[in-house]
Amino acid sequence: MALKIAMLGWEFPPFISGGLGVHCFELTKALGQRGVLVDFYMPKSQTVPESPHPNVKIIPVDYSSFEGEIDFHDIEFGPYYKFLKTSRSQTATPDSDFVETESESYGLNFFEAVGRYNFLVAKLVEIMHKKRHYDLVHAHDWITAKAGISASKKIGKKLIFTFHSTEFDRTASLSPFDWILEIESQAAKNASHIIAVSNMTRMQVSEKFQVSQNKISVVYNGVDPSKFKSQAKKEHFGITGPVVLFHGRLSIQKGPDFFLKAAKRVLELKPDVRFIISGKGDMLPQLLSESISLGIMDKVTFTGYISDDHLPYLYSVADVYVLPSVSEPFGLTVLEAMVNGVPAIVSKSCGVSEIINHCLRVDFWDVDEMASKILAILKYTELKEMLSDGARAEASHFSWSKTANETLLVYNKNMS
Amino acid sequence: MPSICLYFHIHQPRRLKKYSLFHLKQNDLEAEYINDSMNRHYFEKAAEKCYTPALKLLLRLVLENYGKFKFSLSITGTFLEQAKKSKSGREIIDTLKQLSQTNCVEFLDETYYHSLSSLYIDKTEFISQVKKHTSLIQELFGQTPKVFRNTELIYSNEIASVVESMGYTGILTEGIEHVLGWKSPNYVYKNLNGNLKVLLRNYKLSDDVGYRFSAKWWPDWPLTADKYASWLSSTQGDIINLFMDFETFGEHHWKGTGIFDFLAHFPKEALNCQNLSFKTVSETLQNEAKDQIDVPYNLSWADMERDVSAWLGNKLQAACFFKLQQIGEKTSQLNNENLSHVFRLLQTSDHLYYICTKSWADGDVHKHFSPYKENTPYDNFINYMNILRDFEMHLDQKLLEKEKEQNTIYSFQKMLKTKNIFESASFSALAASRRSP
Repeated sequence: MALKIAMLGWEFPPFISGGLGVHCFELTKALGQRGVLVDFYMPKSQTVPESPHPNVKIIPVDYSSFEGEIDFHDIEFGPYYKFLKTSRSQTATPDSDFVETESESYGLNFFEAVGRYNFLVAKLVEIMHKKRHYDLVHAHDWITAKAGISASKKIGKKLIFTFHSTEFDRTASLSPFDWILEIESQAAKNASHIIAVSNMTRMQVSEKFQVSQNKISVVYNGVDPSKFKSQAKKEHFGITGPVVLFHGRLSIQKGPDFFLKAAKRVLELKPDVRFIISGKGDMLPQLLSESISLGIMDKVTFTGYISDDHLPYLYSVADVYVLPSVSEPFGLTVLEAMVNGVPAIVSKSCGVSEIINHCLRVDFWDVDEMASKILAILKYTELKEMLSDGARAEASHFSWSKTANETLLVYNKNMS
Repeated sequence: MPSICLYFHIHQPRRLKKYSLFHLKQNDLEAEYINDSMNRHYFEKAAEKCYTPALKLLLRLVLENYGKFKFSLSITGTFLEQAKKSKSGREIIDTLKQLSQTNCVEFLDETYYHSLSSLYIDKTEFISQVKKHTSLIQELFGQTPKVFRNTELIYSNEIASVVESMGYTGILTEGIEHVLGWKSPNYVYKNLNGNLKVLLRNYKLSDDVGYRFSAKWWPDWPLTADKYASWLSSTQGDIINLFMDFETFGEHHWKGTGIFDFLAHFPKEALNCQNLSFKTVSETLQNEAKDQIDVPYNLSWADMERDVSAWLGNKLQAACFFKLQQIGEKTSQLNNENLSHVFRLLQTSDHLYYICTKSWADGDVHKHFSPYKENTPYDNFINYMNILRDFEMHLDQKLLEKEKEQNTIYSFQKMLKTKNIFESASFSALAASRRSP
């Protein structure tokens, strides 16, 4: 009999802001191909994303999903929802600049939406279970954790929980929200089994949330080369000279400020290098002004958001890819660069670096070393060639089929 | 009646500093590139665990079995240089001197810097490094080596004929099937079309001690001295060449494995076998050569491949090796002893070894040996190449200065030749002005 999974997600292509959405799309697709029936719950938006496989059903969630099955006027949002509100007011310090940027990413509306979504999903899974008879509940990240715990209790099925990141990662451990950490801790404790996207995350989850390492399996992300490979050349875009690329959310977690400082150092010794910073995020104003004060604004290009179909071009013009994350559970973009044979410099606090040989590793704070390695790749042809060939070969070992197989293994182990 | 030819190799490299492109330059290049505090750390550790106790034990064994227990040694210049700098090192040199005086220990020659200079197209550098080693051994131990061992036992027909032309009677190398074919390593051979005698390592019996001694997966573990002696005793042939790193005793196999007990009992157990005896390399070479060996490519004692791929197996290593030779040409033009010494320290093969990526082929992630903490082969390449490039820039500057100086001299000489300056217009004008105040 086919395995039936209630999978709780937050984002799904084309509505994505990061690795979570990519992971869910590729995972459900590959699971569908393996005959697993997946109901993928996600917040409703104007259009429903297309299902990646006939065995995968996308279930958008909002009040209309219930169509008369529940009378919502009887229900309060519960302690969770109240808790949200109080912790929000606690963070409102007089430090106006900080709060302004903070509220952009973690706005009250956003938290409300998360709370509402979790409550509704838990209810809906309970209702759907009567027809669909789920075998397991699989929830991704803190954003679906409450619902995962609640749904699994309500339908009496085990919870599998995937950590794509923790609150420590996302805030670079600077000012994590205690209540999010509490949700993550609850998820870690209530899950029958945990999936971590790297051993680094596995150790972190085990240590910070005090769960046994035996309860956590590492399942690495994959990469679909067809989505990132490009035959384009620099010349097609009128670019001459070497290009060093940063691509990711412009947030403290990803360390774009260290990239900028390294750029300054590189330019001291090699003035013809161009630096591209691609992506959006709350640090953009800070980065722009820093590039001006460093006097390198004419050498740094801020591209803003780059759509998926343009992403391959970005990799195709790069001579070096840098991921200077302060704390990165995996680092999917490294695989995307590697698929294109772009030599990568990856922070040591980056999960993906634990399983690849053909990249250079740096401490994210070691700006001189980062600059030194960028220069080495640009200067030493043999180094660039070997990193490039090695990266292509090594990236080919990663696939979403592998990710799905290993996830399936976790499912099967938790069925008995 | 096989005789045992025991040979140990002692080496410590002068490891490099972390060399950032952004650091402040010093004038002393040796201090700039070489990490002597790290080297001291490794040296002292190895001295305590291995060199001091093992050499003292060997001295005791030689004296206890006087005239019967013999062995041979080769020691790199980079090791002896470091030994001279510390108290424990000087004690080690003293023990080595005592061993040399027993006449039961023969010292071999090799490249002073444990380099791959034998593989350069131009052999001048190789020959001068070996000569430098000869002088050091003469100076410290009063022996003039007659037998040669190349870095990592690297051997080829070409190298053999160079070594032969340098006047050595014999050379050591690896005895592996793909070279030997049906031949046994337990006889003396000659190089191709020459008269240099060749001793081939019996790798099975050597690795029983050097590699497998502490391996619990090995069916013959634990290896005892009497068991090993009985294996040797039943070996066919004239000679048994047991060649290994000296670090076998206390480093590769730490004290707790019983390696020192093994060594302590081995001479007696072997001598108890009626048919066994110990000979130095030169004595072993007295045997008649059975045949010649033909090695058209580079053979070594390293890894499964027994070739030079541990040092020159990837692109990065090849780039460094090529750069070394380019630097060599420039250094030789300058004829500056200090610069030559720095260049030679950079040639030590260990620097290339740390860039080896062979283990990656087996899918091992991050598995590599390097004294530089968690550095990967890539990191080691960048550091080494940064240093090589910096040194090259230094040489280029010196060459430029030299060229300028030569040009000045040359143009002055030319002027002297073409013109008589006393008749030149300016001179006449000057003379005229002097005459009429």
